Amino acid sequence: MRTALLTLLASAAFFALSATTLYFGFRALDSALKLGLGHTKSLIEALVIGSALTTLFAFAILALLWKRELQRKRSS
Amino acid sequence: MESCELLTEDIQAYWQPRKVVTAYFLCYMGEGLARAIAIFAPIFLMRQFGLTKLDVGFIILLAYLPWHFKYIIGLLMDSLPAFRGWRRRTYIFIAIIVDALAVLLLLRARDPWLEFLPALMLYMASDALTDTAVDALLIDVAPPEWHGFGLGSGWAARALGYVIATTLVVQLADLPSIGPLPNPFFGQNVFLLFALFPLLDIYALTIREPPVTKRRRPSKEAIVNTFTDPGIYYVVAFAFLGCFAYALDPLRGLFSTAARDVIKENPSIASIADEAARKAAIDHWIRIAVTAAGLSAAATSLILGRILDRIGHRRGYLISVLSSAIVFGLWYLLPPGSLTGLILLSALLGYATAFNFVAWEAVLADTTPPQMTAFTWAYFMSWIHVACFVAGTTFSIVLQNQGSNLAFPAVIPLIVLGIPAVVLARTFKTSKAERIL
Repeated sequence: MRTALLTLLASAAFFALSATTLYFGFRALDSALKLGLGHTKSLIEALVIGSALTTLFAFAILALLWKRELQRKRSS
Repeated sequence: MESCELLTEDIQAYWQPRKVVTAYFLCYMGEGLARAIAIFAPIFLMRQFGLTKLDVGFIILLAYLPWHFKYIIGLLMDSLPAFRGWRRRTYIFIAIIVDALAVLLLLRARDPWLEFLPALMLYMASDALTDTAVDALLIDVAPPEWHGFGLGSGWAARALGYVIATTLVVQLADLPSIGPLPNPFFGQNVFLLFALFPLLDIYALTIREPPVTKRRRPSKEAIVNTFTDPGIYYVVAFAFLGCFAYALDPLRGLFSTAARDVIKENPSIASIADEAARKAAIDHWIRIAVTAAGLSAAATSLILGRILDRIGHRRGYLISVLSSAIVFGLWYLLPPGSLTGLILLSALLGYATAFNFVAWEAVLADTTPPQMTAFTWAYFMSWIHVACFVAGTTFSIVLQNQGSNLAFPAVIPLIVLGIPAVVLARTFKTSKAERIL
């Protein structure tokens, strides 16, 4: 339960951070390169890539927590 | 790591080189052909529904959604049980069925957002499913010393499929008749072709798969190792830093933008007064450049894939970085508007990017653990999107401000980052392909 909650919280924070950074990154690119992305496309693109990155991040957090759990089991 | 090395004997029992490589080649040929949908769909959407470029870009972006989550598909594929020895093949079979369904929906789509987009997403999902399954199947059964040739044959087939698709599909959709007969693939009916391409995957269903023993099953330990083993960090760094050249693969959009800039400056093309005729001439030369690059990439992937297996994947990768740096540097010398120079450099670029990509894939395949092949492979491959974003942005900014002569050399500093990354990345499986310098 604690593992799940920690993973969820960390992932939510990571998602908010990555999606926001990506959104502003796309907007900056759009104005610099005149790609014609627009707000909606930048937002959707940021959400898609942000959620893909977040899933991987969640796996990494889960793996770290499981590693500690496995180490505890081995030492006991 | 030990368990990976122990698998060699297990692999040898299921290794049918000719059959597996042929099946992989055919599956990737289908994938290359299917990519024509990303070329044809924008034209179709603008003509049929009068959508703007922005709307079309948005639809294509959403259609690629399943590709961003391939590692989730991979994780499911690794975790779900096999049926009577069918592990990866089950998903290839499902993808063929889903594909037929998607084509049926594409043929009947009358609304771009509510009917065409979901159908296109379904089509791309089946494409992602096949891609994940067939890659995992190859790595499941191929010994490391065949990774270069196996993966190279797939890349060659994809390039060939793409070249055939770009020259065939769009033109076929525009022909009301073929000789005296009506064209069955005219207009929206061209989507029927896309139901035929996945039939090439059927041969892969005849491959024998190794049983899902404990060493091939995902576990908590495997997930922990995949994300926390210090050795893996270097491999992930290599997955990211090792594939910047791919962003300029001539079969991707960025290359066409650069080629367009060169062609536009050609005096005989610039002097065409009629705008439509000038645009057609530019598109014609872009197609020639892409074809030259595609054919060169196909030949390179097949021949150098085999050579990589002989000289060692990591050593081969280092050579590929050097050749890519030289080829990218040669763009600096391209005279403005030189069509001959453009075709020559396109062919060289096809060679350099294909060599670099196949070597990069071969090193990563040597590192993919057997417990979570589909997941780990898709995870490594997902770094390519990040790398393309970085290299693509660098290229676009320089292209916009300085032109193509400097845009290609501007990516060289990124490409050479692959050198320290490959030296630090250690592969799991021991074979002659493991040697480095």
